[in-house]
Amino acid sequence: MKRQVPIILTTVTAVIVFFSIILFKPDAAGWPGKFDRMRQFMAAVMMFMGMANMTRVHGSVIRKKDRNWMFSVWLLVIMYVYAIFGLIVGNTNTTYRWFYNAFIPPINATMYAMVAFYLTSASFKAFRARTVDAALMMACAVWVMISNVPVGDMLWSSESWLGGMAGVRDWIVSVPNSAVSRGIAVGSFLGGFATQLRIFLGLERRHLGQG
Amino acid sequence: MSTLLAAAAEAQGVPRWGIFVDVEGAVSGFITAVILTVLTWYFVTAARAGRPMPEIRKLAGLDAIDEAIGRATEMGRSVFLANRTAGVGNVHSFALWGYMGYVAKLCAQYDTHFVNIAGDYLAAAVNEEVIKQAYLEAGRPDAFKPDTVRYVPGDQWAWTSAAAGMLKRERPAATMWIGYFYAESMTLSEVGAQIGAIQIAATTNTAQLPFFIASCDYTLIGEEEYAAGAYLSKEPMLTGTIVAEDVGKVIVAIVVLLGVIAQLVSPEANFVSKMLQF
Repeated sequence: MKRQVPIILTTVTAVIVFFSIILFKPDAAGWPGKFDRMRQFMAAVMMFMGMANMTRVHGSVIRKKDRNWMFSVWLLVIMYVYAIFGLIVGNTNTTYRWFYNAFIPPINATMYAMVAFYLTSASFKAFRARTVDAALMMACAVWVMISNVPVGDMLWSSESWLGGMAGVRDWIVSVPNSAVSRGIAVGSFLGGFATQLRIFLGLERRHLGQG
Repeated sequence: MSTLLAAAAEAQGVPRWGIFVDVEGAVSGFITAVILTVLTWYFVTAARAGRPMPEIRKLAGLDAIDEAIGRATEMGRSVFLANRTAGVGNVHSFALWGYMGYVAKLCAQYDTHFVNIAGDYLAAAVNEEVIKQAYLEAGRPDAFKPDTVRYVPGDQWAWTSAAAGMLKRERPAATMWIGYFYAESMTLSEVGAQIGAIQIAATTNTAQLPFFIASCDYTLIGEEEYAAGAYLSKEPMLTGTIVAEDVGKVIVAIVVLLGVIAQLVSPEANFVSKMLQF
């Protein structure tokens, strides 16, 4: 029974949502909206459980004075102070929003900017032409990169034969590259669909804590 | 799916065939879903009846999981498996749990420290259950440690900074990036490469595939990500769903070919295109 009930619930919910949203008239009986509200409610409950879990895990780290325990103190202080402050003043409060906007976006932007350096080191590895395939990929990549900067147009003008470097770049991007991407996308869709069917049919049971 | 949901919500006018929403591709999408469901049902039933199923072709990335865990065991270092974006309603999570159960079970058997970094609080709870079950199956429930599942809020760069920091500090011998990743794929896989970990990635995001291919030792592309559950379990019924998927691929290829021919012959009267749009 413990095994069957979650599988039956999953299948019934999936079938109702599938038929009432995708195929029949929108909002038929309002079931999709009802399911979504149930999910939102569960997510809100889980948020508190998450806070309790974080307190338990990091509280244990602080008690045992584990490595980097001071970061756990910092995390708990920030989590509770910011949550309580938000509950008191509301999420539209200027000060409440200032704390977020003054810290999070600049930190995110900093991390994002670092991707450029990682890209450089990854490119160095990727652009070693060990095989014919790798050489072809490298040639295409170099072509696309050069055609995206002004020097590309200087080398082979876009107003000349074949649209210049930019013309060939556009062909590479829109023909072979698109064809491969769409091939992968079709495979991914079918793979995703097969996985969903495995869940609906109760064949995929890992999420239910079953092997 | 979300596009269809949005389109269905905005759909106006007379329903198609009286029952279908007035959205492009609603009827053809339904027929495609029915065909794939029937195919899956047929192959699953065939597998259940004991009829032989074709073997799934070798996937180097999945075969490398054993090697990666073996290496981590020899080196006395941990194995990391992570995904940031996948929530419990996401199909990538179900694929992830296939990997997670297998990797956690092997780690439990070899007494290797296994770490999962989750970016969704609901998924983190399920991850914990999946890993506990795997440890139980391995006969080592006591080996499960509280820090095995580490929940880090899924904000893109906060999560990435935390995951990259853990990699740098703990230097795992193997890292696995499974699911849908965005720009963080580059940072994570490069940090993994810097610490010398064996890296296995699986994603369907074509924009991030080149980064994983450049930095990881093995990359599972597109639908290979979803095949893990069936491939690793070697269960015939699960293999049946993969066979159905492959038959579906052949049908798609035939439809594409017909569409190309119809487009070449008469672009205005391309019946395949019209059929798919209905």
